[in-house]
Amino acid sequence: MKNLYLFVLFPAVCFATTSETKLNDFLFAKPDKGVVTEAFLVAKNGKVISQKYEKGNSKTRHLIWSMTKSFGSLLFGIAESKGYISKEDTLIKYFKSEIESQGNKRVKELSKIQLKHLLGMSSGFAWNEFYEEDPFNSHVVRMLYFAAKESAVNYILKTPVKHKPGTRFNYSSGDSNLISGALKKALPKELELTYPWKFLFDPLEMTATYEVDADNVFMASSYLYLTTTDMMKFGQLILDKGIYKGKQVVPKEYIDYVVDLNIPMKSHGRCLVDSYMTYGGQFWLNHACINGKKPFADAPDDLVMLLGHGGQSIFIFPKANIVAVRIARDQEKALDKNKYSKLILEMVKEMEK
Amino acid sequence: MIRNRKIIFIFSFLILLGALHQIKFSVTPVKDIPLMLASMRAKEFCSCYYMLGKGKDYCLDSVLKGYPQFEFTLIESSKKVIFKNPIARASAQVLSERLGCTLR
Repeated sequence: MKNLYLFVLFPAVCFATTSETKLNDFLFAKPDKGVVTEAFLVAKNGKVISQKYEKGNSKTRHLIWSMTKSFGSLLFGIAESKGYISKEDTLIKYFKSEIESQGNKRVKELSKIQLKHLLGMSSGFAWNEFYEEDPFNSHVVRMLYFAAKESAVNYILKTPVKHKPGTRFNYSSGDSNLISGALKKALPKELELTYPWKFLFDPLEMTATYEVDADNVFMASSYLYLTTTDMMKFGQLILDKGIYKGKQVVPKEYIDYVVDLNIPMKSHGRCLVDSYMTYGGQFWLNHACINGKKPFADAPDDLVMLLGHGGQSIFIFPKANIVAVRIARDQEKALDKNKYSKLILEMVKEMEK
Repeated sequence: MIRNRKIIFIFSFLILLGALHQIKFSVTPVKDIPLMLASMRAKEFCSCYYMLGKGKDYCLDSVLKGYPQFEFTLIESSKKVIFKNPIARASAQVLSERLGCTLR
C-alpha cells in the first residue's frame, strides 16, 4: 500500500521544478516576515503555466487598489486616440470654474499643469500619500473616505502646490483621479458612466466593477475589482502592444509612451531620490536612471509593474513574454521584488527545458 | 516637588503644542476624525460584503479591528450600510454591480 502511495505521488514531485519549489517557498511556504501571498499566477505567451490559490480561485474577485491607476491610464489613452482629450491639454481647460473660484493666485499656480504631468505623477501638488502610518495627515485617506462623499476632484484641486509641474516626481492618487475627472468632462454625457466598459473591459472580456465618487468620477486611484485571470489579460495586453484577439484596443504608441520614463525622471534623473523605483505613465518601471543604476539589479530593464496596497502586483516581462499576478496582504514593502522577479524568470526558464 | 511640577509643565506644554499643530497643519482636522472613521468603516464594509462577497462577520471584524465600537446597521433591501459613533454617522450603498459601492 505504501508503495502505491509513492507511485501516485512521484510524478507530482517530479513536475515541481527546483525553481518552482524555491518560488513556492518564497511566496507561500517560507515567506519573509510580513509577506502573505493569497494567490499567484504566471502566464507565458498568453497561457497560464503555473498558479496557486491559498484563498479563492481564478474566478475570485479582488480589490486591486493602486493597480487601478494603470487601467485609468489606458482608458485615457483610448479616449485620446478617439480625439476626446490630449495629454498636452492643461488642467484648467477642464476645471476652469473650480480653479478660478480659488482666486488669481491659484489660477497662476495651476495654469501650467498639463495632463501629461498628471500621468507622470509630477503635477507639483504637495500631496501626502500615506495610509496606516499617518492616516490623519494623509491626502489620499481624506480623499477616499471624506471628500469622495461630495467630489474627490474638488478636494484635490484645493491641495497646496509645492513644485513646478513636470519637475519632480511625487506619487499621488490625486493626480490619477484628476485624470479621471478630466476624462469625465471631456467625454460625451452618454459615455460618462459607461466608457470603461465600452473602451476597455468589454473588448477584453473582463467582468469588472469600477467604483465612482458621489460626483460620478471613477476612482482611478484605487477602486477597481478584477479576477486574477482578468489581471493576466491586462498584462498580456501590454505585452501585445494594445492588441487583444487581433484587435487594437489601445494604441501601440500610447503603450510605448506609458512604459517609458516620465518627463521629470527623464530630464532630471531623480528616479532614486524621490522614489526607489522609476515611473512611466501610471506604471512602475525598472529603467536605469541617469546614474545607470536600475531599481532592481537582477530584473530586466524593460520590466513593467502594477503595484497595489498590500503587495498586490502584476509584473510584466516584455522580452520573456511573461505576466505574473500576485494577490497579497503584505506589510508595506515586505516583498523583495528583485528576488521575486529573479525567481519568476528562473522558474519559467526551467519549465521550458 | 518643584522638579515634578517642571516635568508636568513641560509635558502639558508639549501636548498643547501637538494639539495646536494638529489643528493648524493636519490634513484632517480633529473635528472631522469621527466622521472620517465612520465613513472608512462604511465604505470598507460595503466593498468587503457586497463587492468581494465575504461574510458579514468577517467583514465586520476586519473593518472594526483596532477601532472603537460603532453602531452598525445593514439594510439588505437597499444594499446600504450605516456606521454610527456618538458624534458622526456615515453610510455607503451599492449603486450597481458595475459601479460598486459609494459613500452617501
